[in-house]
Amino acid sequence: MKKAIATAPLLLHLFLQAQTVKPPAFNPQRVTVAIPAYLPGIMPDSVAVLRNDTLFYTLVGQTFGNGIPLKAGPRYPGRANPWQVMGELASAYAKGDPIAIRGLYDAKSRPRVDSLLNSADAEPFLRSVRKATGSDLRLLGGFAYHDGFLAFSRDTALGMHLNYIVREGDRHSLSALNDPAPTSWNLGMFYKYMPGPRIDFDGLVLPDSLKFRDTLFIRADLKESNRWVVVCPPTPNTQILFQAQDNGMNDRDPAVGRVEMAIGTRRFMSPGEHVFHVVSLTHPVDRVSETFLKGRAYRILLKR
Amino acid sequence: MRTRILPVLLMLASMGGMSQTQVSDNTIPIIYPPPKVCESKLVAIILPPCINREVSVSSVARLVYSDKTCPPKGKLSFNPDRIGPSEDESTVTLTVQATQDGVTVSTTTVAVNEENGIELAKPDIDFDKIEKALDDALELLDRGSPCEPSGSFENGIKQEVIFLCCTKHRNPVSNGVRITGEASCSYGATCHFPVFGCPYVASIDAVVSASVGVSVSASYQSGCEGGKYCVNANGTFSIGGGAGATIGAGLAQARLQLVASGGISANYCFRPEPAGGKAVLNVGSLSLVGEVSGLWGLVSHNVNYPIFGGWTSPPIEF
Repeated sequence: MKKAIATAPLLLHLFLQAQTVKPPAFNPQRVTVAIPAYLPGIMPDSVAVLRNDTLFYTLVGQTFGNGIPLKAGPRYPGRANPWQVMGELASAYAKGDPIAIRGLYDAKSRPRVDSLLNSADAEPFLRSVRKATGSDLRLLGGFAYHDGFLAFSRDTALGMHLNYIVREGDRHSLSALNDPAPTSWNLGMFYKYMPGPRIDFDGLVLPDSLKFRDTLFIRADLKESNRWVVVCPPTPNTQILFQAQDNGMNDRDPAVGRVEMAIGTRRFMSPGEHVFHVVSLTHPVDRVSETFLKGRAYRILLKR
Repeated sequence: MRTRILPVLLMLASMGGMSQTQVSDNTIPIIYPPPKVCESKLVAIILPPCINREVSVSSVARLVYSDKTCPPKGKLSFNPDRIGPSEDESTVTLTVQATQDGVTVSTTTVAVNEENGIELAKPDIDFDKIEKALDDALELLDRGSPCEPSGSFENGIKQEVIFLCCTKHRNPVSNGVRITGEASCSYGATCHFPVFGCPYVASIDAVVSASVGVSVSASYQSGCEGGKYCVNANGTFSIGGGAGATIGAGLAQARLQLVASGGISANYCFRPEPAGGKAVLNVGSLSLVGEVSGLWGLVSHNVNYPIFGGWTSPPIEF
């Protein structure tokens, strides 16, 4: 009994490991991916439908929410589908095995892989891929794209990765992708930021007036850490006024979950009364979306 | 016969073509009126109230005689016979004499050297406001770190009061102004800011440099009627930059250029006073264009997206 109790955690660990290292079943479906068009870097794309500040992509593929861990595990030399390629990739990355990595690429791409593996970049490359698999590398999803398949993964050390997978004979292989179209880029931005819900700040205590060129301080308590606070004028598609990330850019308050911004009022460009909105997002933005203007409008008089 | 000849003779006499008395072929003398004796004298010389160039007195003087119908025939002389402005003095009063038949008259005029000027203070051209407008535009781009400004300003505008000869004015010697030279400002700033729109890296450091130059060039001399003097200022505006990043020894690479357009239009009015200018700065949209690659170049994208929607300043008074 004592032995059984002692071995139980080990069995549980092996069971969990077997659960996590196995790639998911490849079961592509018709999916709609909604990408806020105001995410930084989003490019216009005629493949998508733009509706109310959101790009809607209708694709065939799979998405896995926060992702499925990708770790070295069972081998799939047949590489029957893109997820098995990603499983093989995780194994080859974890070992930092250049021959196995080279073997994952299609014939067309191998000269470029050889060039990389025979260059001074080979060692940093292998070090980085080992680091990625050791940093909670997760498979986020993938979609049929052109003649192949886009697979998105992410780790906590190096961020988002995009792999392109093509069918070569009976097997699937990684392939180099030189994409002039914006779709893979926009999907990459989506997986980089995984945009979450917007929170409108309706109860901020702010001054009614200030002298033009003085500093406006805005303090906001966030319900989650690492969120962004965006101050924007009431006009869609214009420049935002200011943004700060909890414990990051432009946050003067070291406390987690609380942001203090010091905004030079000349950002409002002129004295007089100005209207602005304050929202919290899970990502930064470059321009004002009409969705940011649904909450309370704050007013401030900037005196000469 | 006699009665026929007499009227002819009278007519000839009235034309001055004959001597004072004529004797006809008979004995009766005919008495004609005595010829008029011209005793007109020079009584005045009139000159323009002012002159602004060297002239011969005879070309500008008007002489007044006691009898307009009978000017004297003696030699007329002027002293001096040419008059003109002094090289050293802005205005000088000249006395001119006219002499004829032993009669001398004199008058004065003012010779005005319109080239000479008395320097005034330079116009206060406040280029600071243009610099501030550029700062404001860059403030919209700035997302945290301050921009590094640099600039220069030169005011080589010269303003002078000059004297003008305005013969139709109540006060013929009037004040005018001459404005010459050039004033210019050159102002630039370099800003660093993070670009979040790259899927493979948290952010890319972008550098944008913007500069604005305005020069006002003047070459003006007011006339007797004064009026307005405005010039179009020569304005230049440039903005550009780049964004680059290499992450993880090549894991991701970004080679991006900031493509932008813009311009500045300005004019400056020296007169009427107070002098001042107006400018409008237009910063066009700013886009990142280039290539970003991931996985050591095994995946690459063509990139072109706007990061700044553009901005036009309100009219800047300087």
